[in-house]
Amino acid sequence: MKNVLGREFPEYIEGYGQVKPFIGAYNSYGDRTTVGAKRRSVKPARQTPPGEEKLCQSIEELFDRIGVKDGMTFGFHHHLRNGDHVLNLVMKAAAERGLKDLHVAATGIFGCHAPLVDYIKSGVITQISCSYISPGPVAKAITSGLLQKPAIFRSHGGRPRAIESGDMHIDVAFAASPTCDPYGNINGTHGKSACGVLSYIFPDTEYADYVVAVTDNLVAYPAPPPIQITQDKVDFILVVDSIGDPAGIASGTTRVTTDPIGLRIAESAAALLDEAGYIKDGMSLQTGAGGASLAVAAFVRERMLAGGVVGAFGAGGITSYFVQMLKEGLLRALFDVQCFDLDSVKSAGENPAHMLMSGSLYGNPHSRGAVVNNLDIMILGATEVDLDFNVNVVTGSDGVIMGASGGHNDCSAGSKIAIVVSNLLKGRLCMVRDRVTTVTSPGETIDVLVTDRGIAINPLRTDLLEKLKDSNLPITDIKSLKEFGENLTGKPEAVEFTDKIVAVVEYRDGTVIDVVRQPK
Amino acid sequence: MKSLMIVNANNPKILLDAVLYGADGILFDLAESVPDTEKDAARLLLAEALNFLDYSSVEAVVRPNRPGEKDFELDLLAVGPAKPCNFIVPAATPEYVAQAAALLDRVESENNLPAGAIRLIPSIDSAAGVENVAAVIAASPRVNAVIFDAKNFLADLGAEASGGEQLVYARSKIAVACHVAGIASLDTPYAGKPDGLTADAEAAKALGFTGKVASDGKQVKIINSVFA
Repeated sequence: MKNVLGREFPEYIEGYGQVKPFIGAYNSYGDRTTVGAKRRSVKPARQTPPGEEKLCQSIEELFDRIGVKDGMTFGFHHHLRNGDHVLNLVMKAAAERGLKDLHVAATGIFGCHAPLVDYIKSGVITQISCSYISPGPVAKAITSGLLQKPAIFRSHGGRPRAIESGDMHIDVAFAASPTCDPYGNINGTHGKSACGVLSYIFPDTEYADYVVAVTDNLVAYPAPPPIQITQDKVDFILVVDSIGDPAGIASGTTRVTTDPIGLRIAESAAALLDEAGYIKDGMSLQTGAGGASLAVAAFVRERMLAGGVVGAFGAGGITSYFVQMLKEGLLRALFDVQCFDLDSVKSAGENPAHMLMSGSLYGNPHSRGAVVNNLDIMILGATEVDLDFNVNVVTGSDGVIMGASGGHNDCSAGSKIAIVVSNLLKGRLCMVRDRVTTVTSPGETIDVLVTDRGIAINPLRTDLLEKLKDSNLPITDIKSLKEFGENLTGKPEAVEFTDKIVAVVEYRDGTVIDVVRQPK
Repeated sequence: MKSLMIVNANNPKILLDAVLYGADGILFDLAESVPDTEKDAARLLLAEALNFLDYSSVEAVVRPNRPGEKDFELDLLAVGPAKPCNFIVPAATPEYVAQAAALLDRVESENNLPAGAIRLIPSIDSAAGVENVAAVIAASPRVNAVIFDAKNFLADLGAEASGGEQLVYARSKIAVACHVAGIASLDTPYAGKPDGLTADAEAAKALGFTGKVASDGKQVKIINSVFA
């Protein structure tokens, strides 16, 4: 079958199931019912026999008490990013116990999770679903078809939607807990491994059969405020030496670029936003974590200061730049799903205007209204954009998995203007293609592509084209950008793929927007 | 020309991206940036790039190897037909400027280019060069700017680079000579800590320089704003 974007895949995918094809970004709304959750009731302390407290003495005891078995789905979150120890620690114990056929439902997978590759090879892990994956060993293992079942990529809003709707059931959720008390009150902003908000694990704590707080900082009851996950959600507590290394939080993509070309791209994007009238009182803003996206925030900040503009909120993954804007009074509030550096961890623990939002509140399309719906400006990255403005952030042009949606398709759908910033030439290729290798966000939700060689506006945005028709910005059309780029790089040869589907890319509403096949 | 950004003429990616930094001019370096074993490849690559890529939005300036070295002539003869805006004359003396001009006469006539179209920018990098700057400028009508190379000037003088006071005389002499001749003067590239660039560029501007060489893309924006 083909979906509305012309992407082809079988109606039934082995290891995934029946496919609901993508039918357009805004055609899958309406009433929805959430599933129920199993809830273990805990008797008062005077009725609890010794040895049945929530606190477990070892991971083996924890596994025994839960009754972990083959085929289970384990939920994890990635707020410790490339410093996370919890996922590896749990899967090592699962492998030692001889468990097989496990589904790792992590919100993010990083280079530090390289040990998973061996568990994939040995059949301990047969399925992975995630919202973000960084280029690295696990991404390569998935690309090369080592997983028995296709990986499933869901957006940050799509994952909670899948859990709430019952599309994905979590058997055991493991919450990396920087501070926790013996009855399961979890604080993310305090402790030696403080990582800030714990937003992405919230749906797991609501809907999983068992919720485990894994902590390296057990404190006396009650844990200090702000408590993010309360005791009524938590079944067991496991104390370990270290849940992670906070130095790994600010890894990879979360620093403003110093590359002058990246800065010029960011400057153009900020100028465009200003000319199009988006930099004004009450505005809201989110940027991706890529260096050029973050730099846009820096230039928007300059324009806000110059114009005396006070914005409503900044959202998404929060960096020190947004924290600074909050402190300066340029933004009235922050909605945070993930702290990208230690400044934002600190702010999340101290400043009431720096608010936690769950993944569902952030981007779930089947809720009573996600925060992305209130977003004005979204700045995004991309590995490829095509002539219809469809965006790929999942695969490189060689077909190898190097990312996943994260909040990309949630925010592009929700925001009033979604801008992709990128160098036109990446490596030896032009990033504007006839057809992107894998669609992550549909073109109808992407409004502008800002590159170092010119700016293209989606023809669907006639209002923007009209507003910017007399602009001095280097505005051209996307076809010209592609021709210009290909004139420099040559037209790339098409990558060949086998028929094997190694990953299914779900749109935020649970329909399938594309699949990733194994490159030949 | 406010900013003239140095790029390594032997690096294809930089040749592609050079126009994106916002510099008024690009200085394609065939001399210091290119190892001796790659001189041939570099000048062929640069000639190809000047013919194929669109540098119409900038002034394309080529720095050949030093006059007196065999590569100097080869550089001008190989890259000249691709019609850059200017060649730099390193270690400029009136004789070297005249020699470069004669080579360009030949290049232009052999390639049916308008006579005198390719201009020269002497680089003043010695005490003698500073003292003779007016004669250097007068050596060919092709000269339309002068670059000051402080690093080599100080080495020649046996002085040490420090705060910049020791450059006041040389800078003034060059800026005044250029002003009298009605041509541009481009100050030496800045190699200190990034936060000192603005003050260094302002010092050059205060003495009469009309622009400055940028040693990399990060310096362009600051130089453009100082000389705006």
